[in-house]
Amino acid sequence: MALDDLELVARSKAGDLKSFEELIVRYEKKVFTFAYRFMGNYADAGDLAQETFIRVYQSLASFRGEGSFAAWLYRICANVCRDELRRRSRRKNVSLDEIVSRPAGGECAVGVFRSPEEAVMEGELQRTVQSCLNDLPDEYRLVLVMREFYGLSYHEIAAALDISPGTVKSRLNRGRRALREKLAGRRELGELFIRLSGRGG
Amino acid sequence: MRCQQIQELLSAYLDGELPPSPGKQIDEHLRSCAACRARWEELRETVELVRALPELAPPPDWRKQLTQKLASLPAPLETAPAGQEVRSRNIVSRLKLIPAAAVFILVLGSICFYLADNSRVGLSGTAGGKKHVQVAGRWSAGSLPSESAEATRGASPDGASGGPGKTPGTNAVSAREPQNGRNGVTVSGRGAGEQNAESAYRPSDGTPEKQAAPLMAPIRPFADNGTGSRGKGGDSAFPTAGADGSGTTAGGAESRAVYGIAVPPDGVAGTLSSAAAGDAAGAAKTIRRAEVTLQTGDPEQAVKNIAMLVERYHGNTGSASSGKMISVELPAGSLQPFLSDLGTLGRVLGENVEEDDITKEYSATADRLSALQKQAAGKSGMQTAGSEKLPDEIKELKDRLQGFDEAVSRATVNITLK
Repeated sequence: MALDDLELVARSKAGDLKSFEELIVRYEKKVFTFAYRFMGNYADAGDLAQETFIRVYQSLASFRGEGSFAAWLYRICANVCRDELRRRSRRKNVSLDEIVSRPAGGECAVGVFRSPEEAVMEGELQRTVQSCLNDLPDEYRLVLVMREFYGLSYHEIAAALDISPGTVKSRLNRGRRALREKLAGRRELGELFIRLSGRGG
Repeated sequence: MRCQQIQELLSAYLDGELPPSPGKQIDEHLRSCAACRARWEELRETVELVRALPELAPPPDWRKQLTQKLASLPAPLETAPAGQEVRSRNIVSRLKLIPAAAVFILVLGSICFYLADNSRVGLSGTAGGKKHVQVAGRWSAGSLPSESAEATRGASPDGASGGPGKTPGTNAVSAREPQNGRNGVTVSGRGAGEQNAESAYRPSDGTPEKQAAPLMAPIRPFADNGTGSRGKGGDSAFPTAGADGSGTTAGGAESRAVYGIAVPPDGVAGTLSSAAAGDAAGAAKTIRRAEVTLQTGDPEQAVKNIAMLVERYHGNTGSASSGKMISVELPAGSLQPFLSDLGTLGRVLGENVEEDDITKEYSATADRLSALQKQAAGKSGMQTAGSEKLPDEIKELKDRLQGFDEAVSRATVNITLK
């Protein structure tokens, strides 16, 4: 029978790497996907997902099992991603000429690169949604991804990010609205929206 | 409830995060109001699209790489308990030091008063004030020349000097502001209890062991605050939390309480009470962001005009820019004038300025950093083994604080051209 998370955590604390590997196997997709949705490319997602597990391993002793291991892990993952983007946003700038010369309705934000295999793995629609996500301000994207992918409650998100539940609520509200506007701006999605609204009721 | 209020609540309603009563009202409203129902459908579609994104597996050799890295690390229990012990002891000592911190702040406040008075009349303080004057003299001559604080900002880009004494330093900063003829940070004290408690114990971090630190530290935060408050002082039209969170209820009240501390009301320059000096530990750390929809006849020309504006206000264009979406970053203090000028380039179809209060996150990070730094200092005295990961975390926290500082000092404007 499979051991539960807490048992694996206890064994990992004592230095049993096999147990920790089992935890990695259980959660790697969740963590990797979160990092990918947040960062928008495979290379960063891979690095940050690794960084997350390393940080988790190093702070295992401080995990006292008050909440679920998953919630604690997601919290660390969110903070790893956020820290990385904050660090980066200090350096990233785009020249004005580039903006002037760039055609309207460009495909995706600068800094988001995809390899051919990534392109195959994700359909056109998913790529568009992801690219719109990447266009959102970091703080919106963060709560949005935590809510939509991890299904965390406002209180869990608030605790993870050290912000108030009210702030979570308003960021989600604004983030969703901003995302909606960006999606609506993509021509290729027009058809889909028509289909969706025809179905809704 | 009016439609606008309803629409603000839809997102939380979708998540089942509203209390039953407004939830029921929304339910009823949606049945009768076509406009709100359309919004509701849009919201649901958007959320569905995001939730439908698939889960992805990491690349093939990813796990192998990770386990190799992990194998080179010490087992979690080998190094950690010491760290935990230190942390919990810190909390206790912090609580104990609340009164001491309060006294310290009061003294600091009064020093600043004397400074403010004496700087005008020269150093002819009365007998009673003499001691203070001397302290103040040494202070400004040595570590913190007030007028050049901004210039010094560049001198400590890595935030090193802002380390352990960073947060307490903020007190000194706010208290000193009136001396420069800028806005005093007036705090009403009606903010959330949590916030007050936090600001009360925070100063103790740096006080007991590093008396000098609070005096040295203000350099960076001072510069940041200075920029922020100048912007506010100049533009009383700047929307504060009330306008920003108007549609929100329960949760909104909470964030508004935070703003009660963080954002001084405009036009109350130069007021400073001892209470203000105490509470000003919670000096605002707000990130400002504006969304503007601009209608212009000639988008290409508009982009060029915006580029000129950006240059005038020493901003730059951010990474999320594309043809019709321009993301601009500029010094926080220039936000309001920039927005006014932007309004002259076309018809503003929508403008929304948002303030994100990160004071709590900021102070939590600063607390953790100073705890770790003490721990590191203790360790280096005895032995260095097993503490390799401490510098990493310290560096990371410093990075994070620096990131906060920069985020606060810069405002973002997302412009959509129509």
